[in-house]
Amino acid sequence: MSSETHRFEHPAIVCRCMDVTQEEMIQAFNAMVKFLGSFDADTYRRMSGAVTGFCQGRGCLQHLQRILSGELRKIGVQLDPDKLVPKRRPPLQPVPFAVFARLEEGGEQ
Amino acid sequence: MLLQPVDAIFPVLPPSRAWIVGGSGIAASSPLSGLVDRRIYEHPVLKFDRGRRVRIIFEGREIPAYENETIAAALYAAGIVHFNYSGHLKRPRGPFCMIGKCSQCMMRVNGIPHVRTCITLVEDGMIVEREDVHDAELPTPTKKMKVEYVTKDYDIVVIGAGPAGLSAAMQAAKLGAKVAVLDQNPFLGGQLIKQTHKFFGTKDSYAGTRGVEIAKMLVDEIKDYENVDIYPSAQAIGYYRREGVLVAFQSRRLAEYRVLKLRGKRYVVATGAMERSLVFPGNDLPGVMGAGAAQTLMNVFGIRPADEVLIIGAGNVGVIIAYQAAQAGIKVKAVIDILPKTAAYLVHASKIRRMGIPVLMRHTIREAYGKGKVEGAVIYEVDEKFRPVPGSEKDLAVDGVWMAVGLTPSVELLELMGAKIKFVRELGGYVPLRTQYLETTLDGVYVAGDATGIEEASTAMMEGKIAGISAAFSLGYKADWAEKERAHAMKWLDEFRSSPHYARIKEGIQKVLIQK
Repeated sequence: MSSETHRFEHPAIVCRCMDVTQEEMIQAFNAMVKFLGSFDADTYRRMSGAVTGFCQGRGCLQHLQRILSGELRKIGVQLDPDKLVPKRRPPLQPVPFAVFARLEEGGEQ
Repeated sequence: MLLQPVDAIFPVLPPSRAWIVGGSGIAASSPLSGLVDRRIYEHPVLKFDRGRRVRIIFEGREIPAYENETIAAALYAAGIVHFNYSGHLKRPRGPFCMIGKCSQCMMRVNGIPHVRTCITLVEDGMIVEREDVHDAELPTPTKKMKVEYVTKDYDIVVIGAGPAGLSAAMQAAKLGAKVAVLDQNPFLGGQLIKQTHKFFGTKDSYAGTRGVEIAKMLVDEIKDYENVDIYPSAQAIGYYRREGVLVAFQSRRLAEYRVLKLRGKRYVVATGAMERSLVFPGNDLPGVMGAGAAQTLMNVFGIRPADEVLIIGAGNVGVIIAYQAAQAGIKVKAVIDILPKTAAYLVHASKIRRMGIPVLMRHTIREAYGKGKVEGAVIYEVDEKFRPVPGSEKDLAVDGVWMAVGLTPSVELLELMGAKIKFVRELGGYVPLRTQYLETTLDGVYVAGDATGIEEASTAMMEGKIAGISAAFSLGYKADWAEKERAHAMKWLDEFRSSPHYARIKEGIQKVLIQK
């Protein structure tokens, strides 16, 4: 099979948890700029879904930064990467509800 | 004091019984003959102590496993690489990082959804199913969940039991502090436990010793301290000012949790790093994973994750793993790198060239393809401006694509705690601001190892010493030897970073160094 036949058969995934592709990241960016007239990291996260999945951005934050700084450069804006960091929330790891639900103390000490 | 069954702590030990049955594939005398078995029974460097044989049930099929294997390892050993379906596109997915960070290995286990199989050890009779991660069904635990809350006070709580965390805990313990050290992985030693190459450097940074042996030495030494509690399989899931670090401490049994509120007077965060990925079509296919993840399967569990692989990135990690893959009987089709010149040490790079592994510089990946898992990859050459060279495409039949394209610091816990974080390209990503003694902007919260910026295991151990000693000093523990040890570690780091190879790191650190 030549490479031509299966090229781009699969999407290029940026955020694996939320299934956001590179294309969708750029689309969400353009939609937001059109809608808001400016860039806002929090709004962007909500619109694209990136950084909001199970892993809380462990895998996609670096790509998000690369893609956004590229897109912003096109409209003459310098991205401040420090503004891109999402607010982390507990639980940092997926755990069963019961871990939070049962509150009586016991065991050692 | 170790708070888990000792047998679960360290998988790579001298053989307790004759495991080696000859041949690199499935030996005729293997207890598993007749089934797909990707375990390595003969390895030039490692012996694998897999422990007692058990079985797990994967979608109705019985699969042999060993008690020192995680669920993900046991499935890979049976040739199963598709673990779940993705949220919106329902694409088959499998593990990417193998160290409990990427959340791509989640499965439904004993009726509990979203179990991260790469850090959960198998239990006999465990029922493992693929899940749909966004449309998971209601939990139907096959066993009653047991959750117990315990609050414990410590002088110092160390999060992460890799080279940095263990070194920090050890120094603080030597000074007399009461220390807790926890790690979400079932095995202690961080990423040292998969490093079979001998370290460079000087005597005090364990030069000439393999990472696996360093890990064992660190663990053996710290285990005997009465004032140290060690918690493997313990995930830091939150931090609350009053309660401290909230930890879900999973017992050997899946449905049993002890939720620990570990209140430390000081904290040392040594959460390490995570592998980076690349964006290309098919980059999420099962079998496309971090090179370090493949290394975990090969060197910790003794499993061949693939038969033929493409490795992306010809830096030190890429070429070392190419060499180790060959040792494990895997055919490395090519090691590619977009740069014109390899960044790897000459020793490592020439080793794989001698083995006849093609190292293609100025090459990158166009796509990975396959049905349900990776079956091939297309690579192409680029010119000096990184533009594709027409007609340079090559189609490689591979069942593994491993990315060795760098690491990024894991600072989620520090962010949650409220430490100030800054993006520093030279250090590999977002890193905390810190003093020369590695205290962050939060009083009493220290950081060490790759979480401060991507470096090496030897620098992580030195940073661990500095953070551990400084944390103990701030609590009033004092000793002349510790003053000397800390000064020595700081001098060592300074000299290490003075070599032209590490000038960038020195520059990066200047950007986050603060005074208090």
